[in-house]
Amino acid sequence: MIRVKNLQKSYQMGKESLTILHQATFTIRQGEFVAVVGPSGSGKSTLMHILGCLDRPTSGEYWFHDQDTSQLTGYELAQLRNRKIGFVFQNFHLLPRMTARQNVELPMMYAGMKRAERRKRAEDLLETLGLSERLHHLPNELSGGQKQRVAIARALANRPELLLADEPTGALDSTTSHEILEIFQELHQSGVTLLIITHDYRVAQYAKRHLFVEDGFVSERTWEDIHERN
Amino acid sequence: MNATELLTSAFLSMRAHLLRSLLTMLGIFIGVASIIAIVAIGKGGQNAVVSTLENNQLRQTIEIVPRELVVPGIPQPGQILSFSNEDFDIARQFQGVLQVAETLYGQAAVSAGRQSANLMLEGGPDYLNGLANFSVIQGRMFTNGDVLTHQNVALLSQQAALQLFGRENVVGQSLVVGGQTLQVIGVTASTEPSLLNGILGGGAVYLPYTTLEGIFPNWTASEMDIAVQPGVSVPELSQRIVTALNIHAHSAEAFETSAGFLQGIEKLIGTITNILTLVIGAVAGIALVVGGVGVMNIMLVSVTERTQEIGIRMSLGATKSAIVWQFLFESMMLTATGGLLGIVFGVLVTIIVRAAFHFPVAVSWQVSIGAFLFSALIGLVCGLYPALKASRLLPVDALRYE
Ligand SMILES: Nc1ncnc2c1ncn2[C@@H]1O[C@H](COP(=O)(O)OP(=O)(O)O)[C@@H](O)[C@H]1O
Ligand SMILES: [Mg+2]
Repeated sequence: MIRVKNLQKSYQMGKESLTILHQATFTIRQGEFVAVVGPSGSGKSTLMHILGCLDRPTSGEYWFHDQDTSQLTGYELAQLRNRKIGFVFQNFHLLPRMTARQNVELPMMYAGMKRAERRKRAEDLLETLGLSERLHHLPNELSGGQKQRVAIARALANRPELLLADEPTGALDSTTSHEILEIFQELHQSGVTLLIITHDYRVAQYAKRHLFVEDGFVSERTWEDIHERN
Repeated sequence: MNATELLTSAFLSMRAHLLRSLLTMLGIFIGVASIIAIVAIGKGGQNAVVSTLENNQLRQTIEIVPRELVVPGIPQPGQILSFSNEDFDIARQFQGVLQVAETLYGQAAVSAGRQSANLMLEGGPDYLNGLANFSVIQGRMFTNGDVLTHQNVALLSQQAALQLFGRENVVGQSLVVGGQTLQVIGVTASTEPSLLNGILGGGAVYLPYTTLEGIFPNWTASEMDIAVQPGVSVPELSQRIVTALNIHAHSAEAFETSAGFLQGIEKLIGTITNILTLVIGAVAGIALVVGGVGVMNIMLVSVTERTQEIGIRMSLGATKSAIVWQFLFESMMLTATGGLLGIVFGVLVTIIVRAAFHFPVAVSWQVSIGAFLFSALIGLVCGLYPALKASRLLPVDALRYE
């Protein structure tokens, strides 16, 4: 489903060029549950932004199915993010002036779905995630775990093929983290392709496959390998 | 996103910063309000003149006045200021003329009991022009018989009745003008707030011209009033009579119909309105420009403040054009609301002007709609740069923005 080859990301800092991501090459198949593990500042988020078409690589190839993303226009990338990719962020990134349901409706609104239809789907999703009592709450009226569940509902709104989560439990306590990870577990079982970014090995153990990032170098590791290093 | 969704979202975001939004609207508000008010007042003045003109046409009457009254200034040597008896005879000879009478105007002391006031006197035939927009609310108008037999009767305007008697029901009372006692047979009131009635019909006494001539023999006829047979074209006949009178006076510019006189006033009002429009228009224009710049500034602030929101929306699939429209709708919502409030306030001002100064006003709905659309256009123009700026953000940079 995802194929990257010699993916590189560099920033021009004054005269010097700073490379954040070095020649990353890997594939992710449909339905996989992958954890991207590595210390803070190693380039995990940068990688996720590229995979989520929020950023373009400096060089290298990124294929989404059989589509070379470097050939896509800004409009097509927006469409891809809208229909095929769902994002979950560490700080939830809910829109503060919108209720839980309105937040979940947003991606469907951008997809041009009818009001009644998207309202129904938003309510169904929130109910599935145990938030049927919180439909009309604003984000600041919700706990961290509830916010993250709203964010997950929003990411799932347009039935994406790929779910990207950047430190989804980073702002949560361990019990709530566990609840959220259970949700990801279930999503994986229902066939969604999952990529979770984390620097926390307890989170990483939920995944079936692990990519290790260090100083911008991405490498495939077994769980045992990562676990031992820890 | 469709227009309804964009409108709702723009409205919510306006409401979220209510005070800031209202302050931003101020320039547009002031600009639009002044435009609405000035146009209503100018148009009202012109309408008053036009309706008086139309009224005369309906009544099949012609008024002719010496041109000196039309174009006030220093009279030329030999300038004709009033009518001679021969002038009346000339007019009487025309086919289609029913009756020729005169109207005299002047100011004089009028007393009733101990009260006395300096009032306008107007002596005329029973088809008195000055009463065009008046109705007799008490008693009756004097008749042609009263005119022919020099009856000592008079009508008072409402204001005159109040001034002299302190009340309005004064039919049967008497008053004294120039030593002559007159019986009050009626009271008149303005039927519409009209600029001309305001000028001509303040505190006034109306009486048969024959009676007024008797009281003040040296007052000269300042207006010739001609009643025209039904079916005869008033403009054509009046042109022919004026030409004949001018030939008699050996001057191409001695006389003029009062339609011309009214058109003169209309022109004058037009000139005054134009000057006012220019001045207030300049003020309004500056207010609108300053308002527009303010809107642009606030939108730039808003885009910066909401950089992360823009990033989130992009991550959810918002296209560049969706972002552009979102911010365009917000700035248009700001300016259109400002415009709408400006229209409401402008109309309020015209209502106050009408009530306080008895000045005719006519709010133009075309101008109102135009002003509304124009204020929305300001939002579109001034919101364009901030909106484009927002849409050009890279999703990742917007998301990472703190
Ligand atoms: N816009 C940028 N310009 C320069 N350096 C950046 C930019 N964005 C991120 N970086 C750098 O890239 C490195 C990796 O960042 P990031 O991908 O966020 O790491 P992680 O998510 O693994 O903590 C960091 O050292 C960060 O400072
Ligand atoms: Mg990170």
